[in-house]
Order: sequence, then structure tokens, then C-alpha cells
Amino acid sequence: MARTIKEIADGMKQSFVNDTSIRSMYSLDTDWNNRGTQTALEFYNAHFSAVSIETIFIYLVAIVANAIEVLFDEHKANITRIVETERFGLPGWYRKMALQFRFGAGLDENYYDPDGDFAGTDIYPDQYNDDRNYPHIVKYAYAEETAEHLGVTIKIAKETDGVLSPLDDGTADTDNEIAAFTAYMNRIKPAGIPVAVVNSQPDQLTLSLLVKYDPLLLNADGTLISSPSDKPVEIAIEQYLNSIDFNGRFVPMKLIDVVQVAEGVKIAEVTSATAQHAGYDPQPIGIEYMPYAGYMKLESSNLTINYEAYV
Amino acid sequence: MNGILLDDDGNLKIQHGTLAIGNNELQCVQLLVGSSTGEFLHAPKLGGNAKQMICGKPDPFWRGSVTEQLKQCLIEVSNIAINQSGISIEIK
Repeated sequence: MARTIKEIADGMKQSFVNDTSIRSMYSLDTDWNNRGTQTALEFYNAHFSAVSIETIFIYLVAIVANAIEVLFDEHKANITRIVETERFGLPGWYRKMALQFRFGAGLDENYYDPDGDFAGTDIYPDQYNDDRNYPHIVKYAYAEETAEHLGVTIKIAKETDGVLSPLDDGTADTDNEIAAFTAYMNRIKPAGIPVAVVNSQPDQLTLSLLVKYDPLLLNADGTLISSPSDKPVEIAIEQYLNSIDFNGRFVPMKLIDVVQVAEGVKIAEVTSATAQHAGYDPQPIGIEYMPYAGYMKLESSNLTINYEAYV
Repeated sequence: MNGILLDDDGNLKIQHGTLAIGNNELQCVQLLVGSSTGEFLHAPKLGGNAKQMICGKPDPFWRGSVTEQLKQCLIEVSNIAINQSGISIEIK
């Protein structure tokens, strides 16, 4: 982890006065021998002004050193992420492979991948590398190792006009996308690892909010006085829900943080929040909620906002 | 207090082929008084802001502020005077 500029500068100051030749250059030997319990850093600060050229130099070098350390941290994080994604059999690899699924394309049965990274161009024969006829239908995926399945759980969703939905299952004259996807994952996965695919309708979110609004800016129905077609609170809620990653956690406190900076909002509070997956009973949301399907949907009929003027 | 010295143009002073080191108290005073607040990244509150008083009315709190700042820079001041010819600072 990168050290702060101050930590680096303090280290340099200590090294500076600990050096015998530097001390003699500055005629500090006598003071150094009589410093008593004074630390090297205290000794430096007692003998070099904050505006001295030495201190300015030290901070300049410390700033550069800090920038390099931050860059190294970033580099390390990038490499770690690549290793997690590229290494065969890790959860990140399952996610990557799920996103590379092409609907309607066959796998090369006899293919042996010499570099072991199983990139999309490796597993599909050349005639299938065509996005128009063999599209990547899985737009969102999340993979995790699960103890209850003794294997890997993969959550997936596709996207149509910006709306997330499960892969079609062949009912109502649709293609059986999920069967093809499941067969694909079972064929490429390491032998002996069970894979459970979660491909379900979004969890239904129900929200009730109490909003104290500034009557100078908002009407009682939440519309902007200056632009009656805009409802800042509803826009803020939509923005927050869109900002959650696939399989990310819904946190009511973070929602409130976003709502409270909306125009005309003075105070906001979530009075009730529930989530319902498929045919299960709605369950109240406490501090956070991780959707079973990997994503959530908030119907306008499930959103109740009570506006009260802030006076 | 010894330190690296600057020449009259503000460049590093070179003596015998190396950086000149000597008493730098006057130089520190000059640097502090001539600097603006925030100019020293490591000590952002420091700054004499003398340039702000040019062609204007001297700030009555300026002397106290600069005395305090110079003390933080390890320089004790006995007197600061502002007159028509400029600023004069006496160091203890």
C-alpha cells in the first residue's frame, strides 16, 4: 500500500539527519551528540525551517515517490484482477466464459487450448466468430463458489433496450436460450465441478419514502416548479438503482444519500423497503439486500413517496 | 540555522562546484514574506502575502501573523516595521 507524502517525507528527514557526512556539512555534530531523547525527526524539525530549501526538496521528492507508489498499487490491483479473471477455474473465469457465450454457435470438440486461457476466439471455431448471427446474448454475469451447491453458481441476465431480463426458456414461441447456455457451461467447465445457473425474473423491489421538500422548488406532488415534467426524487431513485452492479447490494442508506442531494429535497427517509423473489413471500430489507436473481426491478406501482413541505 | 543558499536571482547558489551551505535565516524570512498562502504544499497555512499590500493599506494584523509564522519556521523576530520604503524585520 502506498505511503502518504508525509510518511515518505518524514522517512527522508530521518535519513537526512542520520547521515554523518550531512550532519558535518551542516555543522550539526555537536547538536546531534547533545540531542538527548530527541528523535531524528524532531531533530530535523528543530534545525531545518519549514521554508528551507532542504524541506522543499524533500517534499518534492516525496510527492513524486508517492505518485509512483500509488501507480504501483494500481498496477498490482490490475494484475490481481486479470489473474482472477483469466486463471482457469476461478469464479472470474466462469463469469468471463459466461459473457463469451454465443447463441447458436457450436464448440470445437477437439480443441485443446495450449495457453489455457480459453479466450472466446479459442473455444469457438472461426465460422462462429460473427456477432450478428451468433450474438453474445449474456450481457451480465456473476459467478461465485457456493458451499450449498458444492460447486459454482452463475447468475446471468440479458439486456433488451436497456432492460434486464432472464434468458428465454423456449416457452411462448421463444428460443430456448437457457438450455443452450447451460449445455455450453457444462461442456467447457472443469470435470467434476457442478454448475448451477440462476436465470430468473428480477427480484421485485417495493419502496416507501418520506420526503421533506423545499416548497420554493418543488410542488406537493414532487414535480419541479421550474420544470413540471421532472420529478427529481424519482429520477434520483432510478439513478441509484442503475448504478448498482450486477449482483450488487441494495443499501437503503446509499439510496437516501442520492435522494437527499436531489433538487428541492431537504430530508428523506426510507419508511419501508421489501424485496420479493419469484413466488416467495416479500422480505423486509434491513441494512442491505443482495438480489437472488442478481438484479432488481422497481415497478412504478411499487414506489410510494409521501411528500411533506419542509417549513 | 544552516541550509542551502539561493543567489540574488533565486537560483541555487553554487560554491566550489557544489551547493552553497550557510546561514539561511534571512533567506527563510525573505521566502516566507514573499510567498502567498498555500504556496508551500507541505505547510499550506504559511505565507506572508506581502504582495497583497502593495499600493494598498497595510493590514494591521500582518505583523503578528508574520511573527507567528516565522516562529514556526524557527526564526525569532524582535521587530517588524512597515514604512514607505518597505518592510524591515529584525531577527533576534
